[in-house]
Amino acid sequence: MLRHWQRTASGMSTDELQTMTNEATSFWRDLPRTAWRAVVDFWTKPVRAEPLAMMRILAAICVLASALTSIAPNLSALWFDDGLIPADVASQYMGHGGRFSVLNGVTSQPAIIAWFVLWMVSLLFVLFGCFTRTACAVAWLLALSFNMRVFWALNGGDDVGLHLLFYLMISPSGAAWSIDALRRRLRTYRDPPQGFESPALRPAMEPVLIPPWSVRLIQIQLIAVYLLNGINKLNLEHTNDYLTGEAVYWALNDVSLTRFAYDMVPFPMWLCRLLSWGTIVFELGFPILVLIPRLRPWALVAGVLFHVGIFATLEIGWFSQMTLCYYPIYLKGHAVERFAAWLVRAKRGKKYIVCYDTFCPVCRRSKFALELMDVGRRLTYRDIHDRAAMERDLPGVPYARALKELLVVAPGGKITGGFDAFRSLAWVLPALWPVLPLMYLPGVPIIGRWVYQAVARNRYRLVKCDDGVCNLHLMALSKQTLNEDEIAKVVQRAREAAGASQEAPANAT
Amino acid sequence: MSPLIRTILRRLRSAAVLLFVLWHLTFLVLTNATIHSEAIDATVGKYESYLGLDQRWGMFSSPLWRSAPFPAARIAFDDGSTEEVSSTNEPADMTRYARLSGWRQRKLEHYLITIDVERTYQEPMLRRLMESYVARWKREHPGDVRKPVRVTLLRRDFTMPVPGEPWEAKPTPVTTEKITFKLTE
Repeated sequence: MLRHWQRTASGMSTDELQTMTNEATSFWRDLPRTAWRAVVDFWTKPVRAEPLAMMRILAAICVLASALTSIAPNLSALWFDDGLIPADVASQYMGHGGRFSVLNGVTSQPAIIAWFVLWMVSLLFVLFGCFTRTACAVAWLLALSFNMRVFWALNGGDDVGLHLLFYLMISPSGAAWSIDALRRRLRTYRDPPQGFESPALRPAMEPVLIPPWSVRLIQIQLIAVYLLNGINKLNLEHTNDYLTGEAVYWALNDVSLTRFAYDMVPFPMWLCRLLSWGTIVFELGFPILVLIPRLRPWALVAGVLFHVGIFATLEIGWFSQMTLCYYPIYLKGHAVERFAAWLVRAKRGKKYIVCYDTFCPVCRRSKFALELMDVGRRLTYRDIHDRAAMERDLPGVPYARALKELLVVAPGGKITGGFDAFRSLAWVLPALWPVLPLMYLPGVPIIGRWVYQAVARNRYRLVKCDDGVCNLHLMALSKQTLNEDEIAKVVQRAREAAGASQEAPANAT
Repeated sequence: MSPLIRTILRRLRSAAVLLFVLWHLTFLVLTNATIHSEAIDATVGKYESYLGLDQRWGMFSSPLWRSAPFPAARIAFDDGSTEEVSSTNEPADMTRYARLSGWRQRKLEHYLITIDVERTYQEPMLRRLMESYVARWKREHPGDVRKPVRVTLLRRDFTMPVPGEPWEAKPTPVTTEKITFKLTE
C-alpha cells in the first residue's frame, strides 16, 4: 500500500489510479463475504480423518495406561465400599453435585471389577477402532462413572481424559486407521469380473474426509484449556508468582507434588524465572500461535517441551500425556500420514515382496486389506503366475508352494509363508502392531499356522468358483508336485477366456 | 427411501449438528467465563456436571503453595501413651526422594486435610483414613500389646524455604489437629 502511495505521489496515470481504487473498493466490498466464507469453510469444509484417528489411538492408549496404573492398583483402597471412600458418601456427593455414575450406590466388589473390565475392553475397541462410536460411548460413560465415584482423588489428567473420550464419541473418530475403516473399505472392494486382478481395476486409495465441526470443537477446547490457565495465572489480587518469576521455584519445591527432591535437581533461579514467564507466554500465546499455520508447528513443539517438562518434574498423573493427545488434531492430514509412514520406514527403500495369487478371490481381498494397512508403503506385490518374476525374486520356490500360501520376501531375503508371512508383515503395518506381540507367544504360531492352512485349503469353498483356475488350485492343494507347463497353460487359457491377456499384470506393484 | 425424505433427514441432521455446535460453544464460553445465574447453572451447569465436562481451568494458579501439607495420625493407647504415624506419601528426607507413582492417594489425602471437617457428610472418609493409619501401625508393630483407643487426624505443614535457602532433611512441620475419632474393635 505504501508503495502504491509513493507511486501515486511520484506520478501515476489516471487509469492506474482508477484500477487501484477499484481494487480497494472491491476488497472492502467483498470483505464481509470473504470473512463469512472463511467462517463457513472453517465449520463445513471436510477435513482429513487421520489427525482425529491419531488422537483416538493416543487417547485410548493414555486412558488405558492411566486406568491400569492409577485405578486398577487402587480399586480396593478407593473404589470399594470398604475403602477410603464409602459408597454412600460418594452417592451423597453425586446427589448434591448433579453427577452421574453407573457405580452410584454399587457396593459389590465383583460388580465394580466387572465394570472396570468392561471399561478396559471398550478402550481396546476404541484403540483398534472397532465399533468405534459405541466403544467411545461406553468408554466415556465408564470413565465418567469411575471418576465421579472418587471425585476427591481426581486431577486435571482425569478431566482431560474424560473430555477426550467425550469428543471422540461425538466425532467420526473411527473413519481412518481403524477396523471400522478397514471393513468399510473392504466393502467397496469389487472382485474383478475376469477372474484375476488387473491394476487398472483396483479401487483407488482416496483419503478419507470427515465433516469438520467436531474437529473444530476439539481444537477450541484445548485452546480454552490453555487460555483459561494462562488468564487465571495472571491473578493480580496477590503478589503474582508468575510475574515475579518465582512460580516454577515454588512448584518445584512442593514436596507433595514433585517427582524429585529440589535439592537433587536444583534449578537455578534464573531458569525458574525464565520458565515461569515462558509458561505465561506459552499459555496465553498458544491460541494465537496455533491459528497461524506458519507458527503452528512451533506452538506445538513448545507445547510438547512444556508438557515433557511438567512430566519430568511433577508427579501429577496423566495430565501432560492426556493433553498431548489433543495435539494431532492441529496437524494436517498429510502430515499425520507422513509421520505414520516415517514410523515404519526405518529402512528407507527396503521393501517387502508379497507374492499372492491373483486368481484367488480370498488372496486378492487379503492383498487389498494389506494395501489399506500399508501406510508406510513398505510392501510391493508379485503375481505368483508371473513365473519369470517369481524365479527372480524367489528362486527355487516351487509353484505348488506359492499356490498353497502367501509368500513374503523380507528385505534381508528371508522367505516366509502363510502365518509366518503375515507375522513378518505385521512389523511394518502399524495397524497390526498391537497384535504383534501376541503372534510370538508360545503356542500362538502353531495355532496360527494350523488356522492359516485350514483357511488356505478351503479358500475356494469360501467363494464362488466356477472356472478352470479354481480346479488348478484344488489340484495344487492335493498334490505335492505339479507340471509347471500345465499350470502355465491353464493360467494362459483363463486369461485368454477373460479377453484380457494383454492386461495381465506382470508385476502388480 | 425417496429422495425427498432423504433430503429432509439430511437437513434435520444438519440442523441438529448446528444446534449442538452452537450450544457447546455457548457452554464453553459461559463456564470458562464463570458467569453465574440460576438459569445458567440450571442448564449449562447441569450439562457440565452430568457429562463430566468440567472446565474452569486454573492449574497452578498464583499464589502457589508456600507449604506442603501432609496428613498424620496421633494414636492414643489404652495405657495413656501416644504415637504419631505419618503419611506414606511424606518424604522421610526432604532433600532426597524420588517418586514414580502415588499421586491419586496424595491428591485424596491433600483434599481430606484441607476440607472443613464440619462438612459432616465427608466425615466417614476422614474416619476411614485414620483407621487405615491405625491398621498400618498394627501391621508394623505386631508384637505391641497396647490397644489404640483414639486417633486424631493431624495436618503437618512443611514450609518451603525461600529462594536461596536449602531444605533441611527433616524440617519441623507446623502441626494442626483436625478431628479425633474413638476407636472400637
